[in-house]
Amino acid sequence: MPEANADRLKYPIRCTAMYKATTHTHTPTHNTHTTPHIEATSSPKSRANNEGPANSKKIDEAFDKYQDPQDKDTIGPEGIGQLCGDLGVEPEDVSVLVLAWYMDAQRMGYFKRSEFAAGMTKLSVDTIPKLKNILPRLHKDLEDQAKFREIYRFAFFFAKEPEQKILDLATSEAMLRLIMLPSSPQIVEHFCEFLQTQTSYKSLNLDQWMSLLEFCRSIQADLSNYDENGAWPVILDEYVEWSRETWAK
Amino acid sequence: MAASLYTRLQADVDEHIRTSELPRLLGQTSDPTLYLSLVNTVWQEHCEHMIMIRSIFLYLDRTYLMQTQGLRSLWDMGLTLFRAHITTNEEVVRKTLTGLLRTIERERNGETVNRGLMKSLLRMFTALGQYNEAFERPFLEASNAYYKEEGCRKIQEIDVADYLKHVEGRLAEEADRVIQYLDVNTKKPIIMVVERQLLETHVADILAKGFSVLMNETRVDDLGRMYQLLARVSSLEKLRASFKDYIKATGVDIVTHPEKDATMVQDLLDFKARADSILDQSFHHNEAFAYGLKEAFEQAINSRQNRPAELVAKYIDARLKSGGSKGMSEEETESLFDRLMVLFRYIQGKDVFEAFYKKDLAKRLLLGKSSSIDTEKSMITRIKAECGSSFTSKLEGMFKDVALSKDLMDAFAAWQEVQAGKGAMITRPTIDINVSVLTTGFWPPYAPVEVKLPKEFIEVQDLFKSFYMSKYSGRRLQWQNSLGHCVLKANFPAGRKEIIVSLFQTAILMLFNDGKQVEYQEIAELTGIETKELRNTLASLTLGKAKVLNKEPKTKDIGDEDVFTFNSKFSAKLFRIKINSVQMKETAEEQTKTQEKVFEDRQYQVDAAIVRIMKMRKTLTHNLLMSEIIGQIKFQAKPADLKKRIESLIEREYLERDPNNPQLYTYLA
Repeated sequence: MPEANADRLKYPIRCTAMYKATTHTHTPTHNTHTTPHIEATSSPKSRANNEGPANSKKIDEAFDKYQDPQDKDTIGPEGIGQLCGDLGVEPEDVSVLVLAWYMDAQRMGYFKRSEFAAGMTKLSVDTIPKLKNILPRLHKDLEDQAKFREIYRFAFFFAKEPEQKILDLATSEAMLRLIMLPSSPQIVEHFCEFLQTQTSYKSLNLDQWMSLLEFCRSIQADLSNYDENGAWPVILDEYVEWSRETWAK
Repeated sequence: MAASLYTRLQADVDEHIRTSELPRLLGQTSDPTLYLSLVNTVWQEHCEHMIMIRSIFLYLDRTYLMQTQGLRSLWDMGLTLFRAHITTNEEVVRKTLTGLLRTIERERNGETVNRGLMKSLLRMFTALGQYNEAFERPFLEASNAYYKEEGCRKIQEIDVADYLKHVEGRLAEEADRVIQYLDVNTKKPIIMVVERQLLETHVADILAKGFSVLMNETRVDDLGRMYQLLARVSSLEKLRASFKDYIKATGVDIVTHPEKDATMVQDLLDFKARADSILDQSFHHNEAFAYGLKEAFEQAINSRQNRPAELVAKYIDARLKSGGSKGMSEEETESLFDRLMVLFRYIQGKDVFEAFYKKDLAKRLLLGKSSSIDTEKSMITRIKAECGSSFTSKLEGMFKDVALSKDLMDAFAAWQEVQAGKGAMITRPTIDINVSVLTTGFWPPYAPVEVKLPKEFIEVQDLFKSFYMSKYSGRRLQWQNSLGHCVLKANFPAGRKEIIVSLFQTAILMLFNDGKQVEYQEIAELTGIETKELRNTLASLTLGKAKVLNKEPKTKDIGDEDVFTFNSKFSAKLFRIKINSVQMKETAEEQTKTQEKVFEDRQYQVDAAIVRIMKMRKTLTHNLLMSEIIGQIKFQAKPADLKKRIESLIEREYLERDPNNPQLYTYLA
């Protein structure tokens, strides 16, 4: 596995020291995923706290607590670690990913002020305690098929390097485990093993990423309804072949 | 009176038959042959008697009996009575029949029998109207059983060729038997029995056991016999299938073994010639068979991608080079090329052929290695007839360039004269130069290679360049050093020689003009030749057949510390020596490069096809897109490779997958 990305496995990591200390400026991305809609079922408590314009000030204040000393409008990896602590979740918790999706965050490990504000507003909260309250709800979003797909798609863009169009294998594996393991544990395990043993691919592109989701949803565990003459990307044809050979015994 | 006469006659004959003819046939010998003689004797006597009676009572026969309906003639009466008493008698019939069948069996087993006797008895049955019932039916049954047993036994005992000869023999035998003593109407059924039992039931075995052997040994007569015989039992389709399978299997065997590559083309030509002669002589150029041959060859030659096309191109190259068609008359060469064209026609993926043919043609033209320009041109004409002019237009362009270059050289010389006459300051070249100007696009792509040439070379190149530019403005000339070669005049102590060397070899050798030794590093610097090429070139000058340079130390490789000197002891039989043969040979790298270029081109073709199709159709299912692509490209491609191109186009955002239907693609404008 490529060593350079070993640290990205631990997203969002506890120790900031291991994070790549790059100084990318945020490049505009070409994400085409839809922005999340807020569920109408917000808890009565949070509705009662809906205060209107005063929200943005509180949101800013909340943001400032975690802001990066070098860049006041960004929360860096350290700040994110702190934020997770205050929210009472592990940084690897999938609800953090869903939160990032609400924020439409462009880059893993960093929240911009505008992103943070947008996310908080969408979730109808303006303080960290309130956010902590509704956090369990974010898990529920994953149970909605359409939302899941959007979050899954978002994950690809979120986890990749901004200038790249592909996701390296190590990060792919980590993200797959994070998102897909609960719903399709066997395929995820197998596929990750396949990725490790094969040598033709060094990364996944968006098409392969999305097709994998489709694969998990429509193909049976014994692969009996898989058609290699269909439109599945070649990497999946190879996975099925490998799978049949390896697991035939 | 006539009536009573008749009645009394009848009674007499009846009694005679009953009492003196019949007993002679009852309880007699059990030996079938003897019994037959007995029967025959009785019959003959009866006939004689009846004839005599009829002669005596002729008047009765001719008048009363003829006029009276319901009454038979005397002869017929005799027959009727004979039949009633004798030849319906169980013992008589049984023993007679046994005798007849036994005799026939013995004759079939090779014994000589009394055919006259047989004939007589069978005529008897015919006369009595009992032939079919009493003889033919049991005969056919017995024959059926006989040949059934024989067929099953013989097919195991002897090889197929002999078996077929045997069958042929049997058929002739039975036909002869009919002529000799059987009734003519028995011919058809008995022949059918033989055909069915000896041939029809064993067709599969015959083909399985014997066909390949006969084909391998090109046994034209035996195969012809097989054809004739199987035609009789409507089994030609099976023979055709065997023929086709054999051709395909043999062809595939020739083509798919890399260790046999060196002789593949020759083997294919020989095999095709053999198959054709069998088709003509044994199978009478049956159209269905000819078609099967063609299909089988096509399938065989395409069972391996790309390599056969490459090898055919190389084979032609060898024949078109000078000395390639040694020992062959012009007619033979032309016929060989026609036969090569037949193979070429079968190949799919002709672009591989084109790439290699072009590369080899370029070398032949530039190094002057063609044995005859006319033969070259007739080859192009053939290819054009097969593939159309777009295929050959570039090749023809190459010939034009060569011809044009000749004219250019004349013009160059004239131009120099004119310039000198005008008093223009041009340096007259100290060396003769012959320039071939190649139009980019017609010729294979050549990567330009750097080399520092001696001053005189640069001068004459520049002179030519100024001449060329004066003629054609707006063009760019680039010298291709890897293609150039020189004739050097060398003064060896043992004798003056002319050596033909590549430009790289020349650059190196010119460094030794002052007689001193030169080190490897110096050579590298002064010539600027790239390391691998430098080592190869130095090796060709020091380690090859013609060692014009000496090397210290005398190792087998070129090392960085080596020192080189002019070989003053060099001698050779010929005055003109070629050391540039390395230029003509194809390196392994060249071959891979050429192949890769073909594959690259194919990828572009697939991409272009996909974009074209999707642009027109806007959305298309995966399966339909695949079949459309296959319909448009002219070479075989694996579905997985086509899928990869689709994926690549998705990545480059020419197409996308439909979000609701993963099997559907949409064109992105």
